Amino acid sequence: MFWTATLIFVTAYAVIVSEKIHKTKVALLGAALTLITKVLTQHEALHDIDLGVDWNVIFLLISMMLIVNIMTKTGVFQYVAVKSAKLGKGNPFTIMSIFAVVTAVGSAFLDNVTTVLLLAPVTLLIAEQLEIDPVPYLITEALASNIGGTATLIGDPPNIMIASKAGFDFMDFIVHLSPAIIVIMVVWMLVWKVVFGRRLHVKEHLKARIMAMNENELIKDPVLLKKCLAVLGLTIAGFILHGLFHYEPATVALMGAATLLFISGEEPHHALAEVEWPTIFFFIGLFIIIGGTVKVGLIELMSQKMIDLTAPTPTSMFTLSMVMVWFSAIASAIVDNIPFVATMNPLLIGMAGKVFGATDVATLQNATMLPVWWALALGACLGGNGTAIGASANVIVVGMSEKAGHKITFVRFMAYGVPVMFLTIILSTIYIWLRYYVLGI
Amino acid sequence: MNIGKMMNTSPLTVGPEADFTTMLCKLSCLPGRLLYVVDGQGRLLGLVSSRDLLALMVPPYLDSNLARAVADDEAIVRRAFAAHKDETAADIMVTEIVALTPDDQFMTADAVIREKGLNALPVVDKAGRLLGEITRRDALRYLTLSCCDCTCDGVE
Repeated sequence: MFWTATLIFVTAYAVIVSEKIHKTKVALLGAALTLITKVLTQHEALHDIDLGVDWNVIFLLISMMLIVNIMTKTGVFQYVAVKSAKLGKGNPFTIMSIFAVVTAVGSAFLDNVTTVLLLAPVTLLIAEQLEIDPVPYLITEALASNIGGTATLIGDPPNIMIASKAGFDFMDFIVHLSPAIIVIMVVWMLVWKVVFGRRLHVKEHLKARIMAMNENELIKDPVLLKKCLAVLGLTIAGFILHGLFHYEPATVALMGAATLLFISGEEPHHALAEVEWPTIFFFIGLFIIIGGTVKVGLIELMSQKMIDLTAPTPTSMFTLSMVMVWFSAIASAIVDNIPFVATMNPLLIGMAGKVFGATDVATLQNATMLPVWWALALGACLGGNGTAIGASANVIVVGMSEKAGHKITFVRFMAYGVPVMFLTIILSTIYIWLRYYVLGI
Repeated sequence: MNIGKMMNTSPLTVGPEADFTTMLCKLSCLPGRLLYVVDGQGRLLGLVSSRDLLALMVPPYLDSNLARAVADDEAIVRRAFAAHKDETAADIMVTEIVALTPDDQFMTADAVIREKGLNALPVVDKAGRLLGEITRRDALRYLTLSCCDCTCDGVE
């Protein structure tokens, strides 16, 4: 069984990394093989909290996708984007900065891919009107999306997975990761000002084109928008308070999605058809494959190796935290960060079991373990900025840009992405070191 | 009923070197929605549709909602034309072509047109030379003439 599970895991991972076959096909076939070979029973795969599918992650993703899908129909995202460009008074760098902040904030509360999918067309239009190259803007948005998504529990799938396994609530992410992301955004925008500030200039008559755009035309359904904003506001309030009332984040999101579906008048089959089912089934397949490796002891073996290499103790995991942020970043730049975090979660739980002798929530969230989880979240989310395939938002932006006649080569993306990845990971390393090992707060 | 009898034998054709303006003029001024790109021997090389030309003139990222925010759409079209005016039929044409032969049945042609969501299909001989095109309208006209008394004379 050990070698069967290992073979399925390694082969699936290799094929996913190669991107020769769609990752959902690979994950589902791997899951089916895990079950057919009886590495995992179907009961374990569907019902066991430690070995099976993490339904908290699945329902949180589906529910948030439903809320965003319905909200997209109101035109509010296009309104915000055009309004932002007008706030920048047609100044190219100001527009770039405002778009970066809007994307980061949007991605913190909504899906990264949806945020860039909605903003990229407006960005292309703004660049066309200003007669400038849209590529620096589009890449900036992809990077901002990955950075902003790191700030909250619902911002990026790796955070959802970490929260579910380690029992963190929404406010834990706000308290521990948001300060790091605010610092990163400020420093990055200052660096971008040096890089692009003097390069991006347009004539006054081109700025006038932006100011002539009519954003008010873009709100298609004001009544639906009011309903969406009310539900989204209540859902975010629910996320902030879910720890207090002992609800899982998925319960809060499901309540929001079901309420919006009920009051919006949307046909369920329309709203549900636009859920990214391939992503959902990728998660389901992946959870089952990883569950198999946990059951046969492969993850336990790997966690022992990690202990041997980084020597964590019940009082300090400094080396592990430092290694984790860089290892996660580099790995996530090369491979999808979702399978990476799906593997690292049980690995860290296994390591906690060996170091502390327990794997309950209190142990996983103790002061020694905390920086390791945040190092994993920062590394996995920010590492995706390194390459054009490092994160889903990057892939979307590259595709949309090419379709609009502005090809972004792999190397051109890296010319922006790699320096930003290193900048953000260096800042993350300093943040973890300073906050948890110097100040101890 | 084979389509050799009902096809239009004078489809719009251009050579691969035809420029953007020529293609725009032909598709705007002459009947027909497809331009067949043929070489010196009349062999079919590719197709250019009115949709292909419009896609180059109107930004593909504009949806019906976002388009409402644009204050001066004429300027966008003019800039797009300036950007593409040097492109030739060979640059733009679609080369993955579904073609029929004159011996194919009408039912086959109609099914292919429906399945592919096309308006017309080229008809070629065994050497790939363009013989004509079959459109839904051609098929309808043939069926009308064969099956009922309508001769189209005096129809308003």
